[in-house]
This record gives sequence, structure tokens and C-alpha cells, in this order.
Amino acid sequence: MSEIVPPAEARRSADLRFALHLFRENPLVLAGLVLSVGSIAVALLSPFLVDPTSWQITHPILKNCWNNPLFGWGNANIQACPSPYALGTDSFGRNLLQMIVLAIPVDLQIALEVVLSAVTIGIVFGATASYAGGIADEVILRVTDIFLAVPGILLAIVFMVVFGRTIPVLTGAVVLIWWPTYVRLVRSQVLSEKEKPYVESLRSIGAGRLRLLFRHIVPNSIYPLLVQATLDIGSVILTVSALTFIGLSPSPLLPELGNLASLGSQYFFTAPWLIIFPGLTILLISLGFNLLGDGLRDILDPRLRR
Amino acid sequence: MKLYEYAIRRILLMGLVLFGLSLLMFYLTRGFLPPSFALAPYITPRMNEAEKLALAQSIGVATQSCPSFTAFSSFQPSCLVPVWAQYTGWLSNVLKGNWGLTLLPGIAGSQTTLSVFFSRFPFTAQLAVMGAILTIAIGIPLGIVSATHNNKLPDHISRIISLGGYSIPQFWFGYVLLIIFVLYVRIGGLGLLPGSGPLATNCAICFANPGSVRAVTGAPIFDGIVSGNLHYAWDSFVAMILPAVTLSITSIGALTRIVRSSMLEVLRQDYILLARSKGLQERVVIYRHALRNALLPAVTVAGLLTAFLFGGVVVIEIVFDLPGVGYTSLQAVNVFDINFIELYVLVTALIIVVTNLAVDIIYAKLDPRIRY
Repeated sequence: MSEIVPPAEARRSADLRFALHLFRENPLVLAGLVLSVGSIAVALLSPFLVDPTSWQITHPILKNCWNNPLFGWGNANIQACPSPYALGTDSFGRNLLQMIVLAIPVDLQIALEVVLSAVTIGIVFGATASYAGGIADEVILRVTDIFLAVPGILLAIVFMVVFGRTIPVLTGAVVLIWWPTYVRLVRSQVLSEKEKPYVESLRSIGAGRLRLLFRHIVPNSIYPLLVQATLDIGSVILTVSALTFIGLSPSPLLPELGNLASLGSQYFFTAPWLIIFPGLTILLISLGFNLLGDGLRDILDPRLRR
Repeated sequence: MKLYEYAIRRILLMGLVLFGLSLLMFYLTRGFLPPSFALAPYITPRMNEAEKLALAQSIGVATQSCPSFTAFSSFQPSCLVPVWAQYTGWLSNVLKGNWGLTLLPGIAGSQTTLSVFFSRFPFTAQLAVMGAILTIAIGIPLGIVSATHNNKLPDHISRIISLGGYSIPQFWFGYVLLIIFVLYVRIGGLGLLPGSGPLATNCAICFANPGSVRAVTGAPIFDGIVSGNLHYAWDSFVAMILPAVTLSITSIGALTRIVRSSMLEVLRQDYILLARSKGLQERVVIYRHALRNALLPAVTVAGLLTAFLFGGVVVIEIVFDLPGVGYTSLQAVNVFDINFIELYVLVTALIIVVTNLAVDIIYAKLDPRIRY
């Protein structure tokens, strides 16, 4: 085996250089990388940037302040606001910029947990369904049918109303929406992968079924899964914030982007910044992961390299 | 397998999916909370113990042999009905057409679930249909332009629109549109905001005072046209523009993306090269040769887009304060109105499943290579 190592290594570095070249050539992907990595960085740094307990402290006298001269929004409360806040204050008198910085890790953590759980469920059930075939396949497919036939948001609403409005339940509710897609995706990937010649050759040298499935077939079908997972981080953040926006937030004070927007929606004519900036943050994070996912697909899918 | 055999098999499976779905929703709402939750919305302060017990028995959460309401509320085993028995009781009622009285706050007990649902459903259907029309009318041309001008300015613009649509929070987009079109831009003096707040002038009147409009279907635009009141129909149409744009923005993004990638795939095929080399005009090549094949993958996601649109209406109806079933379903969940939840879920699921079936049959007709 030793004599084929150098060419494989050389090919890998060529691949890497080609990927870097694609990244450079496509400014949108670069923008996606900056936005997504930036949001993760803000999330990791947020306890150092902002006092993590500041969301619990309300200042009724500072309600809906805006004395940032950049835009034309003014309000009568301007005398009561001692210092300028970059993005104004929310309806509890808290600094909106600080609240957004505190909210980013909350949303990103939920999104990562949801996507990781959905991918895990997808690999386990999808691989089982496609590899076992027969009744197991049929049962798993019909169950995903049931979940895919209902508008996801309603399922999540019922789940949250029944099990209580907490962050773990919110995460679970969104996993409930997302897992069937991954089961379907893994299943179709494994189905197309297991017909390939290398599987047959491995089987001919006596590789066990489970080893074949989880050591060879699943890793080989991981790329589309990776792309889908990256794209879905954006969509999951949208769903989570939509759920908290329509009133399923654990607490009205909680710094979570959808909840912050929901607080602002009561004042959207008089204090538009309250809804504009949290929503804009959601848009930027979600856009970042979508751009990154799109770019990853272009880079990882060799058919598009023409 | 013949196509009709396939269709019959799918219809049978459809029944199975709907049954499984009703079971899932029932178990989710009834299976995890103490039975008093199912009863709470019905109870009024004036009821005595015997009335409460009769009520619990009538909605099937207490057994007929239960001695008293106190025994029921202290969860004595002889009083509790298992969830599967509650489900079969509910199912036999529903199969007889008895969906019970509504529990919605404000109108609880005064109307049947069916009448509440079907008086509000046309409104939601109208919104979803407008969203679907917008999705197709914008998504497909945008995808084609994007593919034919690959890596040029139109492509970049349409990719940004598509990705932006895919990444934008719908509720936020709705509010931004409201802020822009109510505070800053007034088109033709038309109020774009029906019935929410003092800024809505024209259409607040047109909804509160329908004039000579008969409620034939419940969908305002259609009703206006049917009763000859075109002004009403037009006003309702204008009032629905912002909600429909907000609703369709995500699906426009998704559809544009799919049409673009499949069009790019098709344009690389040899038969397109042949069509070009025999001197056909570019327009003929694209619209007659490429488009038909490129739209096939787009057809397959129609079911998914329908699910998107019907999931989206819940949020849109809350943002724009619209009297449809999406918003009502949220209220219904909060009072554990199981009949309304089940009706909403089953009707939307039926629409989604039937769309999927229709898509598969159309697909088989469009593409002779497909065999079932």
C-alpha cells in the first residue's frame, strides 16, 4: 500500500488548492464564510463582550430610546436617555445591541443542536431503512410520510404547548420538524451508494454488513449531508425565531432573536428599530449559512467543476 | 405496475398517512397531560360537580362508571379512560360527522367546529393560492434568466433574490413591508392594511362594511366578483398583496434555485448543442427544448411548496391580523381544542398529500422514462 500514498496525498493537496481557488473566485461564498464564522465568533465571545446577566435587568425609564443620529427616528423619550445606544433600547429599557449579542449564541446553539440531532436520527434510521429494506424500510418511510404531511410549525406549536415553553422543548419541537428530511436524504444516498462496485468488492472480501454500512457507505455519502446540514442551520434559525415570535418564547425577557423581534412588533410604527435589527441579525446569520452551504455544494460536488 | 395501480396504492397509503397523523396529533395533545387539561376549557364557574362529571363523560375522558367528579380529578384508576379508548371514541364521533362545538375563546360553545373552520378556511386558501401564483409567476422566470445568463449580472441579482428569500424571516419581512408601505410609500392612496390600527383607512372600511357582498365562499376576492361588487373585490385583492408577497418569498427563493440548477443541467446536454448547431433561435432552444425538461424537477417540489405555503400562513396571519384558519389554529392549540387541531391538520395534510399524488401522476405523464 505504501507506494500509492504519495499520489493520494498530492491529489488531496491539489483538491485543497482547487477548493481554495473556488472560494476566492466566488465572492458570495466568501461573504457566507465571513457571515457564518463571524456569527459563531460573536456567539463564542458574547459572554466576554456583554455581561451575561444584563438581560434580566430592566430599566422602565429607558423604554424605547433612540438617540442614534444615523437615522431619522426620534422619540419623545429622548431626554430620558442619558447616553446614546447604538441600536436604541428595547421595551424593557435594555440596550438592544447587547441583547442581540446575547441572543446570537442562544439561537446558534439551538440550531446546532437541532441539526446535529436530526443528522444523527437521519443516519441511524435512514441507513437502517435502506440497508434492511423490506418491512423496516416501509415502516420508516410511512412514519416520515406522516411527519412530512403536516405543516411543521403546527406540530411544533402543539409540542411546545403540551410540554411547556422551555429551550430544550423548543429544540425538541424543531427536531420533530426536521428529522424526516434527513432520514429520506440518508436513505436515498445509501441506496445509490450501495449499488457501487466498491461495495461489492468489499463484500467479496468478507466485510460485515454493519461495518460496510457505517465504515464505508455512510462516510461516502456524507458530503450531501454536510451541505444540507449547513443550509439547514439557516432554516432552523428561521423556524426557531418564528416559533418564539408567535409567542412560544420561554420568557418575554429572554434574549432570543425571534423573541426580541416579537417585543418590537408591538411598537413597529413608533419604534421600528426594535423589530428591524433583531430581524436583520436573523437574516444575516441565515444568509451566511445558506451562502456557505451553496459554496460547499459547488466545491464538494465534482460534477459542477467544469 | 400500471399507472392506475400505482395511483390506487398511493390512495390507500394516503388513508394510512391521514390515520397515522390523526393518531399522532391526538396522542400528542391528550397522551402527555393530565385529563383535566382536556376538560379545563369547557368548565365554567357555575357548574356543579355532577355537571362537570357529565361533561367529562361526554367528551370521553372519564368512564361511565366513575362515581364522582372528585374521584375523576384525583385520578382514580376506575375513572380514567386510556388514550387509545379516547381516540377510538373520538374517531367514531368524527366518522359520524360529529366534530363537536368549538372551544375558541369568545365563541366557545356557540358554533360547531366545522362551521368555524369552513367559514375561515376559504380566506386562508385564497392567501395560499395567491402565494402559489406569485411563486410560480416569479420563481420560474427568475430561474430561467439566472441559468441563461449564468455568472452574469442577471444571474447574480436573481441568486441574491433567491438566497435572500430563502434566508429571510417571513414575520420580519412582513413587518418591514408594513413599515415601508404604511409609513413611507403610499401607492395610489390605497390602504394596504386591512383592519389593524388607525392608519388603515380605505380597507378597514371595506372589510367592516361589505356593502352588497354575499358571503358565497368566504374568500373575499371571489365573493366580490360573484356578487358583482368589483370595488370590494379589488380592495380585498390589494389588501392581500403584502401578505401574499410575504408568504411567497421563501418559496420563490426555493423554486428559483431549483429551476436554475435544473436549467443549467439541461443546457449542458447534447441535444441542446444539436438544437443550437442546426441554427435554431436561442429563444426557441430555451423555451421549446430546454424549458420543458428543466421544469420536471420543479414539478416534483410542488408538494413541498404547498406544505411551505400552508405552514407559512400561521405566521403571516398573525403578522397581518388576518381572519383565517392559521391564526385560529394557534388559539385552538392554546385551549387544547382537539377537534379544531385535528380538522386543521387533516385538511392541510389532505391538500399536501393530494398535491404530491397529482405531481407524481403528472410527472409520469410528462416524462415517459418514468415507470412505476
